[in-house]
Amino acid sequence: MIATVWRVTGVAFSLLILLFAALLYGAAPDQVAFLDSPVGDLTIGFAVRTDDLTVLMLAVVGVIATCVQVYSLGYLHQRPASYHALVTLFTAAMVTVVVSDSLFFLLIGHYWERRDARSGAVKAFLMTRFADVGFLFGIFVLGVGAGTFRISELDPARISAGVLTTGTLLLLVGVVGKSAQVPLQTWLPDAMPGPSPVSALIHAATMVAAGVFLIARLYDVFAASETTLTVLAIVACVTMLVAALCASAAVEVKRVLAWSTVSQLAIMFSALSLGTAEGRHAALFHLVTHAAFKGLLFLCAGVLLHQVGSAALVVLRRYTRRGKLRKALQVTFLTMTVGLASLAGVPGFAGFFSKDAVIEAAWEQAHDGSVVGWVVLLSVCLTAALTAFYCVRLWLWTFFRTPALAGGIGAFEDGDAAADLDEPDTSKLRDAPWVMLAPLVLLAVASIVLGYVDGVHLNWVIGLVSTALVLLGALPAYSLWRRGADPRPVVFEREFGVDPAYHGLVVVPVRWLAKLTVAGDRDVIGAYVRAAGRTGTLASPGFRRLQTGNVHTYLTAAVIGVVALAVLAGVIGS
Amino acid sequence: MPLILPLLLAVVLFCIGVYGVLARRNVITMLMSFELMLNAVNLNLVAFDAWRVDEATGQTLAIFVITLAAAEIGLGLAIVLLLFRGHGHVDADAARDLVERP
Repeated sequence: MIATVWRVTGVAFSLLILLFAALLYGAAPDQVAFLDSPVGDLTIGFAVRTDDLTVLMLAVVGVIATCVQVYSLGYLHQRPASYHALVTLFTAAMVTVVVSDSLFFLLIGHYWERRDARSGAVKAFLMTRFADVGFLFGIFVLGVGAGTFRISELDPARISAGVLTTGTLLLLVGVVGKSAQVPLQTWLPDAMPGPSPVSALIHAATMVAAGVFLIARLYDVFAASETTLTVLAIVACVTMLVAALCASAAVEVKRVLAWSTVSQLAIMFSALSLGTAEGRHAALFHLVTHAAFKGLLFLCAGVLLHQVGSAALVVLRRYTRRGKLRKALQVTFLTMTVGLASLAGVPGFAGFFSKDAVIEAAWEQAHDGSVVGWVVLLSVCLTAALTAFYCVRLWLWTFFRTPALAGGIGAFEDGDAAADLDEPDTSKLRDAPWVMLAPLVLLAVASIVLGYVDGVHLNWVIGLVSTALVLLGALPAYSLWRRGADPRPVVFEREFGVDPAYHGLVVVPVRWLAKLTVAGDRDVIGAYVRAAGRTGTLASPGFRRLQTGNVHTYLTAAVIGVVALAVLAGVIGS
Repeated sequence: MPLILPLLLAVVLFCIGVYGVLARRNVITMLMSFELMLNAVNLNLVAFDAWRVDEATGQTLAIFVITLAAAEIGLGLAIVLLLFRGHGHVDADAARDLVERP
């Protein structure tokens, strides 16, 4: 009963956000402040604003949230009511972020029953909290430097250069943590054991994009600081390449998608780091198309998980090798193809147009002789090829029999002992119910159409170059798959050893300190406490002997005591 | 009257009281010795009050002590009665029920 109420509430709330976005569309920018409270010279309060950026983000959040809520009706029909409540709560928090700026929630902790999900949630929590500290101090520095905490009143011209750079760099720490950029990139792939709809909502469309949104919102301030933009460009370029390389070696559908999310977010950041209006526009364009196709891909991965029982490529291959998966899950196959094509940037799909917008903005900057422009241009081009590589790899290995192997064991199944032993029960394998497929189809349509809503202004040279890059990435993947080979360099598969390094540098010392603290508490402070108790126990037989039960003994002791005290008082007093 | 005379009397009374409490085994005698001690204190109070002339603080306190002594002796005699009923004697040294056995 409660679960039903929450389901209805969740869907209705998402639709309400869409309604708001539709109503606000075309309205003049406006802002309202309320509950202002003066603190010293500053005023801290709540402020809500609506402009074109707000409408855009509201539309994105609304569409994705609606799709996810509807999809969850089929995906998690036996889950507790708290699931829908938490998704709705998260959506509400995201809307708060969009219309003003505020802290937001963490939801992956919902999957308590799975240990890796739990440790992933702890990791995500720690990393984003660490980033939030930087974020908070950034707010303080900027707010105090500008004399206001209202975004609309922040004027970079009135803030001194040093304060501006410090504040934006601190904000950047928060952005890097929230959007899983280098060096805080590891939490996002590790949060993947959470339910797929949540991944689609949080990790694809909304929460991780909050960093991009934040920079877009404060773009004047960020653009005024050369240093911050350079740092942002370096972080983004490193992240997009590292994440794309990690994605090309991951062996689980959701993990590939998680790394590709990190990589695509970095592309948005690189566009923002150009510091131009075109860069901001390209970043937001890519944000919208990415929300559509990455939400779609995560929901597709959810269907695979739901229908097959696992999204690991090893397990999927058991079905694919017998040619079952594609035929059984036709709608999923088609929509996932659209999503991957959009992600890879195949011409005609939304991802192609938005990625070209980024490349074009970078090219214009590079043309003007900007080093940052060149670096961004090169890394985005390289990432485009890598993206095509891992998209094609994922697509082929998930859905197609390898001709060279003739149904035999391929590169993925090498480590899988059960690969040939158990014949999977394919009779029950069929496509998901329509409540799950409808969002897929809707998002698949969006992954194509969204590329054209902005008005097609294509630079033919750049279009040709990026198509060539896609082919350049796709062909090696195809030839490797044809030969049934899947070389996974150890360094990529281990994700550049960042996790072990963090384990050695942070986790081990913290554990050591914790052990020290426990030992100090147990062996030093506790020792005093125990000694006090033991002294009392040991002394009690002696005191017990004084308790003779004879009134005269007590009285004599009392009299002697009084006399002694009187003598003492006399001695001291004289 | 010089102050020293009532004070000396009070000291004598108090010492008799202390002796009675510590030396006698009969509980009733002990209670009577308590009364002696209390009255020695009373005597002190009244004597100092008369010596200082100005106020009646000492006399007031003496009245309080007399009241308390009456209450105390009532309680004490009740305990003695119970002791006699329970044990058949009023010997303080023999009544050692509250001894802590190791």
